[in-house]
Amino acid sequence: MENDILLEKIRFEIEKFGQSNIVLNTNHFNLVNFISNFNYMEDCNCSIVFFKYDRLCKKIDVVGKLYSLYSLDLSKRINNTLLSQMELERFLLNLMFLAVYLNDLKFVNTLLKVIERSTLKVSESIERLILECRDRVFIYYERY
Amino acid sequence: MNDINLTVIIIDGESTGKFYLSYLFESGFKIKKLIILKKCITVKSFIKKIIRFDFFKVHDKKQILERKINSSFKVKIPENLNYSEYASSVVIFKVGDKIINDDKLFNYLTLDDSKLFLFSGGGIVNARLLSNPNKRIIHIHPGIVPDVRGADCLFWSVLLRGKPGYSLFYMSEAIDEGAILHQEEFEILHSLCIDRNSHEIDVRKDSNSLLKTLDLHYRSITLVNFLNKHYQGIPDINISKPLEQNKKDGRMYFFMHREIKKIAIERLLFSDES
Repeated sequence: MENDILLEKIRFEIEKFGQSNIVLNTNHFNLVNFISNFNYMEDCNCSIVFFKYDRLCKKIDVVGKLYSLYSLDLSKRINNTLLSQMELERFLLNLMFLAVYLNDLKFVNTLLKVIERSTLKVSESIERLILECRDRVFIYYERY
Repeated sequence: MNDINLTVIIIDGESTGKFYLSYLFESGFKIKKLIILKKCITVKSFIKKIIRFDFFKVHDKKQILERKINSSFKVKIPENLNYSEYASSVVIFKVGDKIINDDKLFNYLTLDDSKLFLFSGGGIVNARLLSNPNKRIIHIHPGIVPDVRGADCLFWSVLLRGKPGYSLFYMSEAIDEGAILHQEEFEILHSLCIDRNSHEIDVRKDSNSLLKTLDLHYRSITLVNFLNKHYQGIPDINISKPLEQNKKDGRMYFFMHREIKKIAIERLLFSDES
């Protein structure tokens, strides 16, 4: 029940951003498009989307930076353009949604690191939401 | 003692090697060769030590927690080992900063007749050593692969699977993706009897203590259980067909944030009370 309330809150934040026009580029992975096209109704149960977010965690955990273009397998960046704060926050909202929906500790681990990474700037409201996600998923693991 | 054709490579002064050797000895196994890597002090390593204030660190006596954990296991690990008791031959090898990837060591291992190695850890083994088809290096990873790959896996295992799990596999170029030879999981120790009220968790200290004791006991038990399973009275260990991993399966975990690690440590230490 409390998870649902938090998911609703994240959904509300996601909807503020709206959706961008899909720009298809089959040669590269466009992270900005990918995150702005996140559909919380369908994508939270989609293994392909999950796999992409799983791979993208590495960019925060290890590299501490998110770039706008990657190779299709996400193994290397294609350009030097970092995500803007707004794009990063949209990415984090999507990750928060997945973390709470799936009770995923790995995603929470990445989210907690965002707060401490000086290379990744996020607003206080996003930080607070991350901490709420942490609490929800921790409760799940305390019961487990 | 049962002679086995296994060459163990350890780093001088580090605990992992001592644990492996002690467990092998207690289980009646004498390895073919022991290679002890001694790190040379280079300008680079000297500067690193200064940066880390290593010279000024007081090396405390073993933490109470470490003593408690060690006392829960039958095999006791001596502080100083007489290496010749553990191996038919002992080689001391001076290496530079690259340690296991040292050029001279690579040449030595290439010419050496050993085929099966166990490296006690201390860096990622590079591709040129792993690509030699006549040399196989086994590694013991604190997680059931492919589910739990990556870093801090003792702690990830406890949270994700409810108990510590270990995999023994051939090292491959891709981290933690080698063919599996043996896996086992361990029930959380109930004999520690640590009182939640008297032990305040210090994530950094306690995780270090767990990695220096519990993790090494479990790794060593995994090793001897694997050998016991496959030893057939001759030095060459009969390794049945290893189980290839599907690279797409499982997940890669990264260093655990201290808040999550605290929960894992609580699970490992205070399990009696739950």
